[in-house]
Amino acid sequence: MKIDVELKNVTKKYGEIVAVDDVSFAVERGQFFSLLGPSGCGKTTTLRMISGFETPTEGEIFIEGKPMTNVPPFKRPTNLVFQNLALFPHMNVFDNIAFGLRIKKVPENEIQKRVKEMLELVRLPGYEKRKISQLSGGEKQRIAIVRALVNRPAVLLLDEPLGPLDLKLREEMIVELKRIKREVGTTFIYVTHDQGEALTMSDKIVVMNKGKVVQIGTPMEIYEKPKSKFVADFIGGTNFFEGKYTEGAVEVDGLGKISIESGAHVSKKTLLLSVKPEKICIGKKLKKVDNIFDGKVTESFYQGRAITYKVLLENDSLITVVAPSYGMERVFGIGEKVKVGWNKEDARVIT
Amino acid sequence: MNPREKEASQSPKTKKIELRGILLVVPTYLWLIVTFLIPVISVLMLSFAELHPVTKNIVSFPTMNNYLTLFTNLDYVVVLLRTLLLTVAVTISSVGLAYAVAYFITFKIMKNKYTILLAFQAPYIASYMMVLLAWRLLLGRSGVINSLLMSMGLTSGPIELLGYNAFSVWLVLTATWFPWLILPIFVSLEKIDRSLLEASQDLGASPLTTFLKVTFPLSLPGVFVAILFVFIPTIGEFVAPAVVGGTTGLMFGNLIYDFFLKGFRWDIGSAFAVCLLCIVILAVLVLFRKIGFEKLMESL
Repeated sequence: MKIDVELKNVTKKYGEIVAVDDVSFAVERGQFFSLLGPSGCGKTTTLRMISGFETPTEGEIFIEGKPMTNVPPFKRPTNLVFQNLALFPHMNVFDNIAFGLRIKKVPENEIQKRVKEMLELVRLPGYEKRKISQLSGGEKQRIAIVRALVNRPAVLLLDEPLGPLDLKLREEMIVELKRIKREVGTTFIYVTHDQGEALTMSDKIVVMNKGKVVQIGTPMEIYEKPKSKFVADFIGGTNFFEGKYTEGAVEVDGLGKISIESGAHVSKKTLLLSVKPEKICIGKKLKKVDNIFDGKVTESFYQGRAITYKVLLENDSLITVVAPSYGMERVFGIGEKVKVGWNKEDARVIT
Repeated sequence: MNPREKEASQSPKTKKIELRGILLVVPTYLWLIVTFLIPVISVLMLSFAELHPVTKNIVSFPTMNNYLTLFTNLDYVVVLLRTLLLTVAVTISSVGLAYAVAYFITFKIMKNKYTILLAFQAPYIASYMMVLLAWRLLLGRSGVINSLLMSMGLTSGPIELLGYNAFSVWLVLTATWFPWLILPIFVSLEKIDRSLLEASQDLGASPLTTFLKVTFPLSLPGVFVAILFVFIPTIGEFVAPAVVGGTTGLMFGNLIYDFFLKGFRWDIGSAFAVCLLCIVILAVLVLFRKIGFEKLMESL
């Protein structure tokens, strides 16, 4: 597999503050690659270093195998879709998309052809003469994406472009982005704090926290096999249990034994378990589950597709349970005594 | 206006507010009518009248004689042309200088931007007359600059360009106007979203291309406002040419001043003033056509 973008031990410091701390990863050609993390984790700074607007304090960035230090943004084979889109307000849609091509002195008839192709790609044919102020949020988004794509960059960089959209439009744009990605085949590097977006679209995700890479993997690996407490909690939220390991189970104070999958665990060692809320079942009677505990519902939120319960266990720990709203016995009320349970393969050992 | 707003504007409550709004602007309009419109109309009427040089009675009305006086006398036409030329020169140089300073403050200065901006306005603490008199001392064939250069042996005789002439008028007016013009240009530069400049670079534009294709076009409203700010007062200027203009730096405003206050030919002076007014109105209209009026005002 060809590597399009590679970061080797990249660090960015602003005075005393370390924004990006020794980050390394490689993006393969044609991948949809996401940088995921909470705000302030350094993901946008990383993206801006790839696009050339920030210079790494240490380390090196390679694009298509070439080192990029001292290459200014306007000479890099990357194009960025800005967080606020940054469409030129004094130009119409055509001139916005043609901007990069005109600078590269592409012949005018070629420009006409490529802009037309791009507008067809995002299903906005005939929009050439529109003013930017006349476009809706979703339309602006599409124009910003093709204004970057029309230059046929080696890598398309996207800096949380879906942030300002409402939920429905965002879901539409996610589908749209995946389709565009499939049709053009360009490598995408996508920055987001929204784990839903990252999981849905990416081939590979880099999870960042406090300037450091905490985990790299496919969406499923990141979600199902978090390697740290941070990843387990940040991606979709989770329930933690801590206890000492004894013979295929973890002994949690005041709760009892939680059986886990056999592994090379040392006896008497403290382990941290993560159990995702949707892996926990809830009911008056539970069968065919490995771990069952008594609890009391303290809160319930009806959310259409699912119901989220907060359940207080006997050791006074509060866990979150997400129950699908199909095939439910019934909705449990606050204060009701229930049983919660999960299979041993769903209790993931973090440490 | 969407239907909802329309509905709202018809409700009795909004009508009351509208009425109150009108009451708020009425005094200002009355004031303008008394202090501006009436004098302008009087001048306009006077320009078509012929007054008796001694008795000041109206001899004939309407007549084009006053305008003929202007366009048949070559001396007056020369002064008019010089005034136009000087005004254009002052406008270009002061707006250009102000643009450079505004650009520097906006993009290159990170700390204490507004203090530096304010510091440029310091010259206006001194009265215009004082500043002009200071210039009068500096300039002139035997002024401070020339005598200094000569005593240091740098020049054998006085530099004629620094005497009292049109060049000095241009120099003085440019120097007095440009700090004030920094403000509107700064405002429109400051308004430009920085990500637009990054987007331009990201799409392959060098810093120079980015300036020409993005920064400058987006700062045009501020530039146009600055042009208005300097063009309108400069074309009617008569103090600076009187102080540092000598005989060759005389401007059209001086002619009007003389007709009104020295020759007591208010009729001819009025015709000259109306000519100037027409040029200003024309210039303003051209600028407003070039860029929408609303857009221009937004940048203020």
